[in-house]
Amino acid sequence: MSISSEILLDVTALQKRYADGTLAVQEITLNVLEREFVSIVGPSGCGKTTLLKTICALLTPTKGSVKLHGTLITEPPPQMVLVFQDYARSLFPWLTCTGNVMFPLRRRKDISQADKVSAAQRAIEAVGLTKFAKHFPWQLSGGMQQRVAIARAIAFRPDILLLDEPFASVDALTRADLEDLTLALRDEFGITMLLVTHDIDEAVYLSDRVFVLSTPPSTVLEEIPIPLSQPRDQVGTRSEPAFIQLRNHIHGLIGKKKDDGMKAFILEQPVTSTLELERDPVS
Amino acid sequence: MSKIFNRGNAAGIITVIVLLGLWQIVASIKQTVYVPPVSTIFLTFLHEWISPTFKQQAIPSLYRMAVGYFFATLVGITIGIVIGSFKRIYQLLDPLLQFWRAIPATAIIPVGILLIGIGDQMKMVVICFGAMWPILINSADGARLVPTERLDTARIFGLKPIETLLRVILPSATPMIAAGMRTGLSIAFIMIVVSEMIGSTDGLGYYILQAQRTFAIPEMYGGILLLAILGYLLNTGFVQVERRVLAWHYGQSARTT
Repeated sequence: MSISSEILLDVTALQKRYADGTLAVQEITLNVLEREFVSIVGPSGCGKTTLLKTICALLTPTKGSVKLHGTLITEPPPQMVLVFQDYARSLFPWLTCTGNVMFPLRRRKDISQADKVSAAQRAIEAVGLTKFAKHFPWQLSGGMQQRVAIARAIAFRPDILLLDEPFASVDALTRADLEDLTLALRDEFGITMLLVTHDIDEAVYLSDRVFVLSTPPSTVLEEIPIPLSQPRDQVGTRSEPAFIQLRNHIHGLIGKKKDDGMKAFILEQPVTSTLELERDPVS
Repeated sequence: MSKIFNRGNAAGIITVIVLLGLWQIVASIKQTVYVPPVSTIFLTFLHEWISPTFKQQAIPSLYRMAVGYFFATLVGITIGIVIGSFKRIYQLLDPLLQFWRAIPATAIIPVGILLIGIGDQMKMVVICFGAMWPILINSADGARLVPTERLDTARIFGLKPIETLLRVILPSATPMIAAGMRTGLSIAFIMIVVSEMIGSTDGLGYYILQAQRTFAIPEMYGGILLLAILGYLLNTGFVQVERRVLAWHYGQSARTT
């Protein structure tokens, strides 16, 4: 595993304003190098999901551009796959694990049937679900379901994986497992990773670089290189003095900005119901 | 089939036997022609329906219903999925659909007779019309309520709109479509009886009304009994198929609730 100096993904002055006038993403500029692990970390509701969806062209930006391998993106490109937080909604419950992993491959004409089957098998093996290949997603635990979603993504052989809070809905131990799995997959398949999370420790632990976002309308507060030793280790890495320093630094950044932001938010927005807050459209 | 006679159903079966016994006793004592004893109805039933009458009266009904229901399913699912998949079309048509579905299906039989006449076609059309609404509305809701993540996943993997429709939206909507089809089936059953009572020379609806008019009271009850049996068998058969086809859905629901 070595990070190249080639820029794979280039996001320039990206802005997303919703049709209702809500400015979710004010101006984001960032880039991801080939085989790099980059995290975007920010407070809840800072428009991270909107940012990822705009990067992979599920949403159209109001300003700015996204380039993959130097080519402007206007439609979701096959070299880029997004993994959602809510695996239960993104997986197809009528298909088995294998069926789900095969689903996007099935329609591809550039790969032979035998190669599709072996690609699916390899992806399922890589996420450790070979024994459960014939199970349906709903027969598996949350962490295992997210593994299926990840296997489906890597079997498609994208150059970059966009991960939208992929470990937010699983317990702490499973979370650590999935984090290490993601790192291992990056090495095994040479896939670049762009992770969005609100968990600062997770971002520092996994990444080569971290972009810290502000509250909405979001901008990049700081770009932080993470010079921690490789390979990462759940116990060792997290107890390195550099790790603690970095996470405290980011906590300081977000904590301070978040307090200011929340005050402004509360003053501006009359709160009608808690339900609406939970269903915040920009989160 | 052995499942029908499990312990849970035993109590239900006893209830039926007790009620039929009461009917038998009361009807035997009262001796009224309007409500003959169960035994008379049952014997008439066997005599009438294990005979060419079944072919003459029941088969035409079932045939009309099958054709009408088939087209109701085809049209209902197709239009419903399309309406539910496109927000604009849904917004445009929803008020109209909600108003239209409020019309009791039987009320359009006179329109059918006016436009098509009293032949087989009219019955098939009104059955189709009646049974179509629940299927159409449910298909539209099923398509509309597909989780965004699932549609986004389809787009991420580069599925064309038609592929998304067939491989993502349609399967996602099947549980709701099946529920609509079940409602549609019972409406089709009502429609066949009513349409045959209004304008027909054969069929079960015709038979029951004719029996009543010619004072063949046990025959009338026998016809109703046959309807009940057919309706029960159709519904049970439907549920069996649904359980099998939608095993994933029932498995999932059992896990999450």
